[in-house]
Amino acid sequence: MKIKRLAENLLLAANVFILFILLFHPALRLPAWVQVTGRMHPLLLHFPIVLLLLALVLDVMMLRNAALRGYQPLISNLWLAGALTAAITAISGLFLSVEDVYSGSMLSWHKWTGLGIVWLSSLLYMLRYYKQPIFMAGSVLMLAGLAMAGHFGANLTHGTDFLLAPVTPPPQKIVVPVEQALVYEHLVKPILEQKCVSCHNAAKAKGQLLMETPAQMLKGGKSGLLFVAGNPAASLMLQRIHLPMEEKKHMPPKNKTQLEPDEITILQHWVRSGADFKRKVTELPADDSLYLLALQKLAAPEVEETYAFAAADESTLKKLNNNYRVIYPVARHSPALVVNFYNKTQYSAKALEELLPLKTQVVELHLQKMPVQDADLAIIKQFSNLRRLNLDFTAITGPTLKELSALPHLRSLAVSGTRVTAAHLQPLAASKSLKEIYCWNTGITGQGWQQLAAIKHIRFEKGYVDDGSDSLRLNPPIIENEQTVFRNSMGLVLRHPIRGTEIRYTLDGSDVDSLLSPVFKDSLLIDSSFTIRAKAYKPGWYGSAAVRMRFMKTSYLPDSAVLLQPANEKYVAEGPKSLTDQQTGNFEIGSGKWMGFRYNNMELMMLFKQPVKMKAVTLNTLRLPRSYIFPPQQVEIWGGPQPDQLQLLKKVTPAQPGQKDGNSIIDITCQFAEREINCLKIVAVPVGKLPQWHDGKGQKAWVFVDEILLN
Amino acid sequence: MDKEFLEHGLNMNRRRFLSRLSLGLGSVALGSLLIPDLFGGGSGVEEMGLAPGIPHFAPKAKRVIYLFQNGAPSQLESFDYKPKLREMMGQELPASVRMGQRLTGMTSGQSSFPLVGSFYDFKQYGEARAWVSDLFPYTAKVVDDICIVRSMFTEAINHDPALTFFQTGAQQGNRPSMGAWVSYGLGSENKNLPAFCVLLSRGKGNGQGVYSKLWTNGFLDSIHQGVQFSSGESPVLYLNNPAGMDSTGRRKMLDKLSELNHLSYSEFGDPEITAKIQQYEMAYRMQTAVPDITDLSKEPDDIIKLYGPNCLVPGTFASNCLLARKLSENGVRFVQLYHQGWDQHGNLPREMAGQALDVDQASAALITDLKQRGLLDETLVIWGGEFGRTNYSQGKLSADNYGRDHHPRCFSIWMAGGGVKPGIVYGETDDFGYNITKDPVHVHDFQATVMHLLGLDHEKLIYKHLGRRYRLTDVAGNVVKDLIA
Repeated sequence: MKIKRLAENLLLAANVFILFILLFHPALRLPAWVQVTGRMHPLLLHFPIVLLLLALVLDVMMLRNAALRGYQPLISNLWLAGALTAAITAISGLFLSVEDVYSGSMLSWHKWTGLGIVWLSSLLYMLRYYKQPIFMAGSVLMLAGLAMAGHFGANLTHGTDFLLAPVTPPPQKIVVPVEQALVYEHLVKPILEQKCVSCHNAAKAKGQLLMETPAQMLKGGKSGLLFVAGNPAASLMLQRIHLPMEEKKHMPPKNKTQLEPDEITILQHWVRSGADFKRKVTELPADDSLYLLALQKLAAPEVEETYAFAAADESTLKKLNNNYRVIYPVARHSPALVVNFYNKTQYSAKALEELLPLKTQVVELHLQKMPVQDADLAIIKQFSNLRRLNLDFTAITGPTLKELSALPHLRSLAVSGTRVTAAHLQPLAASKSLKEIYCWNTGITGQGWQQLAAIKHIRFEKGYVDDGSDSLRLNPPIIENEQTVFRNSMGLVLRHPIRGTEIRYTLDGSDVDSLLSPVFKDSLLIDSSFTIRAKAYKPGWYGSAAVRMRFMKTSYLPDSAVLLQPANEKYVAEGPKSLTDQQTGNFEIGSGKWMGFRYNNMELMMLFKQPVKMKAVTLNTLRLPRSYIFPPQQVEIWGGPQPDQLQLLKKVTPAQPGQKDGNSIIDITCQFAEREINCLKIVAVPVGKLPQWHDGKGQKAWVFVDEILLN
Repeated sequence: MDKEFLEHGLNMNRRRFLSRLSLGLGSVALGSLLIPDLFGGGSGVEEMGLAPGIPHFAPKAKRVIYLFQNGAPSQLESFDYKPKLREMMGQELPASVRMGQRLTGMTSGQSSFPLVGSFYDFKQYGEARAWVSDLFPYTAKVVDDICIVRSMFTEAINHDPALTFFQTGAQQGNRPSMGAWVSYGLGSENKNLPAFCVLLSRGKGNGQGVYSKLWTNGFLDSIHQGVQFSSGESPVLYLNNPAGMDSTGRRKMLDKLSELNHLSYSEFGDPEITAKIQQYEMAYRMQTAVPDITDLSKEPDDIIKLYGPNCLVPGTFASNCLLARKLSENGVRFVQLYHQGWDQHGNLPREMAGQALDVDQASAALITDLKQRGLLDETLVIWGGEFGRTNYSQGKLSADNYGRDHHPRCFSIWMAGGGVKPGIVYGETDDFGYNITKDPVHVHDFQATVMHLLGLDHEKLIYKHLGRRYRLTDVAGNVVKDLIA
């Protein structure tokens, strides 16, 4: 009981103290420790709310249930505790308001509703046993007061838009064209509105500074003028902004969203340039950093498109989707659909018409290469939400294109590869939404392009047109014959991949003349060894480089062949037979076509059942100096009726490469007086010591042979 | 009090218990409203990931054409202009620049690291005033349509791991390739063609091989594997009808086979059977679609001049670029080209000129061609190798001949279309072209960005395999927002 009496006294004292503070508010100077009490206001305020609410609820329950009367003293105590903590909270709140962090109408509302609670709850505690209806009316009033004071207080600390922000739609960023934009209105003000005005407004007026209108900006606040036009360094606003974060006066306050570097630059430049409220962005010099920033800030923001229509029925989608008409949503959870058509034999106007149940949802229609007719555009026109339409290489001719300007959202239209002309496209200028039209490879003429250029809001993509200024060199013709060795005769076939190319050639290895050399037609029948050189020509192109290839004839095939000394085990080809199989190799030494010798001579014996008349033997050899592969040092041809009656027919010493000579395939021909023979022996001697300039000087060289020609 | 407990106990009969329980269930239901995806998905394969086949958010790019320059083209002779290297020609690479970073075994034994400047001159082009070397005159012309990234870096220092890293997000292999992930994430647009196609070509320069593991489906379903198109008579192996079988015969056979398969399905109910039926049908449709696409003979003359005369020679890079456009235009999600021969350890001036000649015109042509058809907006084109090359010479340095070793710490690639900011140069390297000084882009960042452009969240496109959830970017990667228009 003693405690209760003490508490009642305290309550009275607190009320008196409150009146005292209210009376002398402007004159108060608070010591630091009292400020701490003030700052405990956000903590203390929870006690009276809970205690008073609890007391109220119990009172109501007691009214309805007489059995609870025994709790009367407890409820009474709760009322007392509630009123007392309300008073203490109010006192701390008053202390806090003296600190001058907050001001404005919001604070007044909070203050007086809060005080109302203190007085009402004190009164209700004392009048608890008086007339019940009056008590209940007072209680309801206090409940309202609690809600209001709480709400205003929350608005003070979190801002007025805090509560409803999740359900309020975000403000649409209004895009102003640079030409019309004002420096203050469209660059400076949005920053202030986002980062400053939530405190410096009529309701809060922190530091007695308001920043909502130019007049308020010019007036400044408690600490003086906000800025000195033309002198950012002397301007209070920028000084505060540039203070280090830990400084108490840094703006915006530490726990609020800070200014971006760009935003600081804008404010700084605006003040430096005189803090003009009326100036246009275009009046700034073109190289001014504020101007450049303005261009960036005022650029239209890229927003992901949202669609207002409802999604199509899942079963309709499923029914219409097939392998040649693919329908899929733009993204997960998006009602917008993309439709692609494939395979022109599967396309018909009906296939397009069947899509009409989806006419609201389809935003992209890709019909390239389908035989779309002019009349089909009447169907397409009904897809009211279409954004992209691709009609590349369709069968349209253009007259019905103008109907597309009725599509309110169409942004991109592609008609490349059709017979559309400028006259067909011009009516599309009426469309407000169209941004680009792709019209490469159409019927548009030079004059047509000029007419289209007058339509400024649409970009017409012309694409690449070969106007003859780009002269390229043709690539050489292709020799279709793969084998370079033939028996008796061969049909030579030349080809060029590009249509309408003329191929000219020579067969004696001489240079090809673009006018005098014969033109190749279909095929050429040739019956002796030759070297083809051929070039390709076509108007509008530079003539090609020459393609050159040597073809060699062989007349006889031996009935058997045997190596008297083995080939190196790594390069045995397919035995001695492969030397007369008319299959030649290339620079790939491991291809299985080449036979290699290093530590012994090549000694090959060939036998003919019937005597043959021979006058020349040719060895096709490889020269890869860096890989130690050299032509043989010496070649000997022996012949006669039997293996033990051979005569030396010819001895040849092939030329050896010098340091500068590169890779090559060389045929070494040994000619001799014509002779009838049954047996032929060919000896090729590898170079015994590589020359001084070679990396492997002094070592043995290789000899590689892939084919032997007998004539 | 005791009485009240007793009463409470007595009152809690079954009916009450159940009706209270319903309240509890109601509150669970209420709570579940706050978790939108709680009851969506969650079926085995796509556990945690989003349903494959539809982008997570509205994509900028629908398709990708990746012009991979296999072997690593030198950034110092292409897009990263370093005049300082010419000034300091032959001088030693300062240790303060190298900072002891690792080298490959091919040059770590060199006693000297002489700096070498580009043999080829650079000029500035386009509105971005981007520096491009004289080796790439056609690319220079489209510089306003491309975005050059000079600050790529990777973790691997040798070809195979670096390539594998670029393609699969991991150096060791066995993970799905980027194209396979895209196929998994977006599905195929055109049901008559594979979603992921691969085209190979080879330049005359020193080359490195490519292996099918680079376009593998890894642990994903085999339908996502890259299909290699070859340059011969049969671009897709085993697709043509065998000799003696015509199209009608094939159709009849498939119809009969399908009847049998359906019978067997109704008996066993194995979903693999219906999958098989679908595969046969797709192959049949490909038999019509593929010859139509691989036939380049109907391309207009302007196109041939645009891509250069080699575009009609099968197996060349130019021809592959043209083919890539046709595939992409027909709804192939990911077309992967590899051009081999960029590994210039020696003879760089001569070999690189040849390689550039192979690819420059056709790469630029691809951009122009897609643009004039209105397709560049929805097609992402990427050009680049697996790492860069050193600023010092490998082997002997002479006035007109030098080589460059592998350099993973900085290199240049470019991207175009598909929602990439056109006409910008991103990232910077130091004056020596050795380290990145601004805006580094890791391979995983690059991959995350590509996925983002395709409307896929690289952190959500995952697949659970052997008890672990995998994604293309492994456990890293940030979308480079500055590259996105």
